[in-house]
Amino acid sequence: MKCPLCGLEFNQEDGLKGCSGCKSMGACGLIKCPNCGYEVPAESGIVKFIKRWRKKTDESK
Amino acid sequence: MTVNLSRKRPQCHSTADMEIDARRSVVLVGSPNVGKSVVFGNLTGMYVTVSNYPGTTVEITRGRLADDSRAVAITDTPGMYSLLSITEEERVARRVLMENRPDMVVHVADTKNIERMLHLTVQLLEAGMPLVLDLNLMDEAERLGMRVDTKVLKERLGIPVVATVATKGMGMDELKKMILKEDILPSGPPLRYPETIENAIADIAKNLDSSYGISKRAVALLLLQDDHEIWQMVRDREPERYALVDAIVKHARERFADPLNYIITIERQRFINTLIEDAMDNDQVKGIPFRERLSRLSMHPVAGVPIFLGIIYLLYEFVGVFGAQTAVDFLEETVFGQYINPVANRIVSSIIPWKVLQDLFVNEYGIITLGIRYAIAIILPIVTTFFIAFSIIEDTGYLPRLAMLIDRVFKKIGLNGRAVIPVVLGFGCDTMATMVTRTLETRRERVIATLLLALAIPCSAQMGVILALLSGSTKALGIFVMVMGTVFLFVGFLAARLMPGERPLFYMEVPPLRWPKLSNVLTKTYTRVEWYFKEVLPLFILASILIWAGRITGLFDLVIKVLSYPTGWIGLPPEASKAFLYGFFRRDFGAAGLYDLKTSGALSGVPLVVSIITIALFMPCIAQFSMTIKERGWKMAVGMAAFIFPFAFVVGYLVNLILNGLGVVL
Repeated sequence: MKCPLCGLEFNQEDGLKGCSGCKSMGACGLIKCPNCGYEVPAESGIVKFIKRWRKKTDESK
Repeated sequence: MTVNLSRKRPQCHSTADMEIDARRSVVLVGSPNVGKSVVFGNLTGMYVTVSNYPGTTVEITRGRLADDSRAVAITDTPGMYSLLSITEEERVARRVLMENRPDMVVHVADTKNIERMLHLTVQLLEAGMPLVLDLNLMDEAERLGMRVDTKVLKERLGIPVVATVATKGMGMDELKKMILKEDILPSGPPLRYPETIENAIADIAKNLDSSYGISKRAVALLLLQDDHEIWQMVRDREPERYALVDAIVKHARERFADPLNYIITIERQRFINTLIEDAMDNDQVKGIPFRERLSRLSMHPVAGVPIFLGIIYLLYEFVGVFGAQTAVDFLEETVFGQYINPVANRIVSSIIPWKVLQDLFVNEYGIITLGIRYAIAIILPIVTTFFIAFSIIEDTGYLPRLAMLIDRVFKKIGLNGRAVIPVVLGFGCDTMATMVTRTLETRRERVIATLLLALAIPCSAQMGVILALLSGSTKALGIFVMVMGTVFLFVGFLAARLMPGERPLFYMEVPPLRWPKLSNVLTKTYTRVEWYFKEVLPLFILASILIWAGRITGLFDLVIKVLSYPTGWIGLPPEASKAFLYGFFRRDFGAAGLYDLKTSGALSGVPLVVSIITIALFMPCIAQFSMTIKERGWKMAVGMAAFIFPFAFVVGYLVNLILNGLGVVL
């Protein structure tokens, strides 16, 4: 994913590493940019489902 | 020559499985999205081997380029912005460079973002790599009116520079020829750092006995920039010299008020700026396209302010007028007012005979009639419209420009530029931004940024409700923005004077402005609204329960009575004190309380604006307050609260006095 503030591209796993020290320990559902700290919510399950479904539909065409 | 060829499909080989036998090895490096894979595809054709880098899930692709006389093994590395690694991909890309000792490194760069790209070029030269710079996406850069003189870059950097458009195969023959025919020698470091850093580099290099696969100068620079992986490597390989190296780095750090990573980055940027100035065609620079002009204007200290105000106004029209007036009216008055609340009251009264327990769920402060109503009827439509607007702003690339604009304003009042990042993040969530202040280097920066966040930066949810409260009066919006801006600058100025210190430069990469994509905006909005509701709904319900408990014990009425004195002093009706109490739970909950008063007609005109300003400046919510305690300690958090609480009411009092004195009618 790409950070909307500084533009860094990083993996979701890297975005969870910045959470060490926070009380919620990643349970907030936010992904933190490892470069600037900007946080974005993790992609919703419904959005992931729709994307997968669209990909499948495109592949079957 | 044995070559293990396979179709371009990910396979989990270990690097030991690679049987591409070529005497000459070339590694491609570069940031993500620069067309590196297309360059790789052009060089190697379709037969490549994909393997996971040992111990990671990061993929490395290898292929082969050959002619009649020579065969070359080509390795494509994961995206890397800098040798100073942040992500796993960057660490793997760096390890490939360090372990493979390639005969040639091709840095594939996006020409239209050449200024950002050259940071890695400089680092690769410092690392002693035999480097070729591939300026890819040249066609896109030319469309933007950019013309880069590759000869100047070649002369100044001392390396071959090739211009390519890999998607069209342009320049690829020249690159292939270079890879197959030319032997590149490392050209050495292109710039010198301040004397203290240069001395530290020399001292560290003298004490490094082992081989690292990159130059000792680069290892020294990475140690000075505090790269954890390199520190670990030095600890393992130089156990006897480690303490000495550590002492040299500490000594160098003490000589600068700013982190060495910052000093080193700024020096590189200065070098790149002069290089770009010489290598770019000035006539072309004059014909800057509209998008670039707009980008520059949005960061300009004078022109940037009206652009920012214009965006706030559009936000206000969309959130305050469309979101609040249309959607909230429908949900609050029709859905909850006519259906849910009366039905809930009836059902709960028929099931629960005790008035005290009925109040927990319904009536004035019940979970359904207050907590859930606030969350669904008031907050949901407002934050949804706000998040749509915020996602559009985010997608256009305006946020980093806002950071640069605030930085320039910060400099004027003597504040440190890096504090800009948490301040901009505060417009999203102040609690998260307070946590981010820990990344600031000095105590001075951390304290000032935390104070400004607690005082003058409304979070996204509160901002949405405030815009809704101000709907119908642009004059009121103007007064709100002016007062908040003045308070921000005044407190920032005062804090910077009371806590003197260094005010260094701020550097941030600014991506190009772009049109937002509808699918991106909808996805981001839905994801944010879902996340927000998961977090906010339990808290709103908890607040209703606490209010209910407070009413039973009499504590709620006592606090309301105490708060009614300062609210009365600033010209607000006694009911407004409830909203201030709600504000302790969450900032948006307090603003929703004011919204309730506005719709019932109890609050309007000047008192409404005064109350909005006071509640925006008022205490941070519980989450932010506990984060302030965690990050800055009890004493500092209580000290800030002791300043903010009366300060908010003093500002409210003065605004009320001035507006009434001037006879302002809203």
